[in-house]
Amino acid sequence: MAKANVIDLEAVRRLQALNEPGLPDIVKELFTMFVNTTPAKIQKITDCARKNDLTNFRIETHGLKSASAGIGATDVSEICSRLEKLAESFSLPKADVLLKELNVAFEEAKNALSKVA
Amino acid sequence: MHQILLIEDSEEFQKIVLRSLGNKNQIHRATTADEGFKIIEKNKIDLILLDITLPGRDGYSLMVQLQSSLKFKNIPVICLTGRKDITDKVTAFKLGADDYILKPFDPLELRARVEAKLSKIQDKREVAELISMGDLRTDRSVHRVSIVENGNEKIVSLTPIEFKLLCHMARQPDRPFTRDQLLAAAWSDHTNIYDRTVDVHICGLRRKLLSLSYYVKAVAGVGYKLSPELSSDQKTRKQAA
Repeated sequence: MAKANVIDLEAVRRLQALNEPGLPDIVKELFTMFVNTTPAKIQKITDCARKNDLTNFRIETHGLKSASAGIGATDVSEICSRLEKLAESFSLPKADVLLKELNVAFEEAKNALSKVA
Repeated sequence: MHQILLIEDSEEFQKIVLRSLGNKNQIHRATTADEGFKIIEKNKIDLILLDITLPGRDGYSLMVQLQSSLKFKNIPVICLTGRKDITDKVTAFKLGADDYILKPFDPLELRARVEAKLSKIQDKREVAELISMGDLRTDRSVHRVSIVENGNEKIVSLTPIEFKLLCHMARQPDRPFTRDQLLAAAWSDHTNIYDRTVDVHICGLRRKLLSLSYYVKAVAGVGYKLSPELSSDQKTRKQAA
């Protein structure tokens, strides 16, 4: 069973309110982008952690934090926020556990969003 | 229609912002601060929506750059960012931000804030386009000059150059302007225009404004000014007219 905070249904509803006749469904568009781009973003974050590349690690986690929050993928965004804090405390070696959680959260968000998009 | 510049590296948020704002305004897009600054230099941007965390230099550095430029420092900036810390907000406002919107935002709230800001810009623009002094009314938006006498408004027909000269001087009554300053104000490319050309157009302007309570006066050794007082020579000419 999916966790309650995997996605923010209120955020999805706000996006749906932007839909207008004649324009593509914005939730579907964002969902497609989220599904297509997130794995590569997670891979970049993982690579930066391995290389101890703090600058790019911070930029990538911040980017995914925002992008996932935009579509209501709350859990993914929250984990990115915690990863971002690791970068601020120069603790990238501790990122492994969170990166695993991030992969799981992405799959859960994908499943949950596919039902509303 | 206003020109808005969105500087945002996230394709998802670009999409959300574009959809939120609709198609009432022209929206330029950039993904880095450098790319954004190039667009600012080439266009007349009315409002900037700026993400703080960007690839390369961040949004703060762009704000510093804008603040150090007389030409761009007054462009309103709304920060659109995921940075929640109070220190980030304070920094943004210290650097000249007009508003600070946290991601994820409600699209309707973003639209409302942007429209409120643009509405103020429009109000300022209209005030700047209407200059009223004594009996003289100039409206740059419709390129019209009129004189109000005894409650009646009479339209004065001016050439485009005369109109530009008058508007330039009317913004600061009694301030003398050199011929070079007037040349720069009235001719977009004045490299091949002699400063004495100004005299010819001022002469035409004076003739047409003779019945006004504001008058174009020569200032010895300087150039011209728009003044509320008639010279004795002008009084004589007005009586004769």
